[in-house]
Amino acid sequence: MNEEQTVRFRRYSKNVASSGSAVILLSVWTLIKTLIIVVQNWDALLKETGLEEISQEWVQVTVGLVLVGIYAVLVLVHVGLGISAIRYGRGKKKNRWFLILAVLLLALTVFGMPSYFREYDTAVQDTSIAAFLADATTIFVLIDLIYSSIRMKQLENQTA
Amino acid sequence: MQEDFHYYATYCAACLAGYSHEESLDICYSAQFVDLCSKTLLSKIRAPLRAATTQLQLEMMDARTDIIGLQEITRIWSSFHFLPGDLYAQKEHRTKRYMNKYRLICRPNGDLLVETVRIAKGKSLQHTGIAMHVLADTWAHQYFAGTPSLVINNTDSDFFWEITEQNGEEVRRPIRFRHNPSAPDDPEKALYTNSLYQASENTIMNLGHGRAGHLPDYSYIRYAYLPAWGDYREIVKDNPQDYRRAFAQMVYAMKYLRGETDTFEKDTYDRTSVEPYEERLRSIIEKRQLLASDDWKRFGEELSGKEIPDFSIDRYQKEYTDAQEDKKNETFLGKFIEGALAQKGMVTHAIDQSGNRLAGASEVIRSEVVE
Repeated sequence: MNEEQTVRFRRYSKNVASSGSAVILLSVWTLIKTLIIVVQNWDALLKETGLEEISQEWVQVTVGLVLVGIYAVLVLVHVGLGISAIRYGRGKKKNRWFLILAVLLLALTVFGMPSYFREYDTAVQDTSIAAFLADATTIFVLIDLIYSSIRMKQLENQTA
Repeated sequence: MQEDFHYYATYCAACLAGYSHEESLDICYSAQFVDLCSKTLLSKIRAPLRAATTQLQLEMMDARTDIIGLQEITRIWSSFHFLPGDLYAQKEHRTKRYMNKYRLICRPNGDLLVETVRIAKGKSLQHTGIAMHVLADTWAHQYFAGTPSLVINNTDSDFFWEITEQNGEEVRRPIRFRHNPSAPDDPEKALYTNSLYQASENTIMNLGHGRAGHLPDYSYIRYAYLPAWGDYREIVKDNPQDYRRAFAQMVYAMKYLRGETDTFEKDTYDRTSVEPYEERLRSIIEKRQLLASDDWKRFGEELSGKEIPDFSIDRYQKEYTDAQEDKKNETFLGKFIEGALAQKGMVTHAIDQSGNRLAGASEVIRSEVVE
């Protein structure tokens, strides 16, 4: 690579590593947000799913644990994506399977954005705005991660 | 740079410039004293605190990082250890706030260096020593700024490579940093200590070359790294070459200060005086050791035929404290203090005149610049 290409390559690899770190941090937000939603709306959740009528507590607890488990898996996906991106950005990893995860997460986040614009209780307006900003940040980070990874590959191919 | 260069190498350069043994001792003592003249010491001897040429770690821990504190820090470090290379440097698409710090980046052969040497002309040997300290540090500390700034002084910890030569080929190995100030640096394992990463822009951890540890002060090492201001461009720091140039430039500067030459110009070195000792200098500078004091001392004693006493911070303090108030300026430390005030005032004024308020303001009184 000539110097300009090397400089650009360094910039993009730094972006990928930084975005990977951001994805890991944002996963913590995802977990916290989900836990708060589940805890705050537990009764409504039981009612919606018809579990309210089941008297055995263990069923409700099991459902709760399963929900937490699902979101724990989501967090692990974020963390796995983030770690892979960091390793790729630092040149310690060559394959880019994490981009598939990144695209999936990006799609999920984007499709969830319209929910912020429907009518809601003004009492939760502040939290909704905060959540919107956090998700907007997630979208930006994922786009940056995907774009920078692609540009890295292009630069490598140019000089190969 | 460290005591090995500021004290012993400066002595050697002074000898080669034609100074006597006693004069060389005064010069090299002053050069080293710049690294020790803190407010704490000045307070102890009841000297003007504004003459401080350095700050102790404890002083910096207590230092304010509001604008007043930052100006105080910048005044000291930019004046004596990180002399700005170009106060009018340009860089596209940057705010004024960023440029104020960018323009404080230390580089050798700047206009301020010429002024530093010029204002020492006709002054005391102590002032000469101060000028030599500043000159030497422009080589070792280049690419870092004497103001706390993350966006200027931070480095990429994943990109630090020691460059060596094996069988005629350049070989790079990674340099690793740890945060253990009590453990000595280990050149064999390329394991060094640097300051902790802190994301705050104005934290003391981001002052000067803290993020690169003591690498700039080791004469033997060549290394590549990415400074925060560099926009991902690699900087290769060739300390052996820089230290040789610093030495040759000191000889040239001191010949000017002695009156042997009429001018002091940038990017000029007294290679003629240094050439007979080139191999000796190379062997000292390139030897893999953290402190080269013994080698420089041996060289200096061979040059002069006289013994160089070890540096002692207490040597001239009693003379100063015992002197009458109106006679203090005639003591060794009194002359050093005068030189320090002149240097600090000159640099502060120059920074202020360039439209940069990071070092505070200064005013010109008569023909002398004071802080």
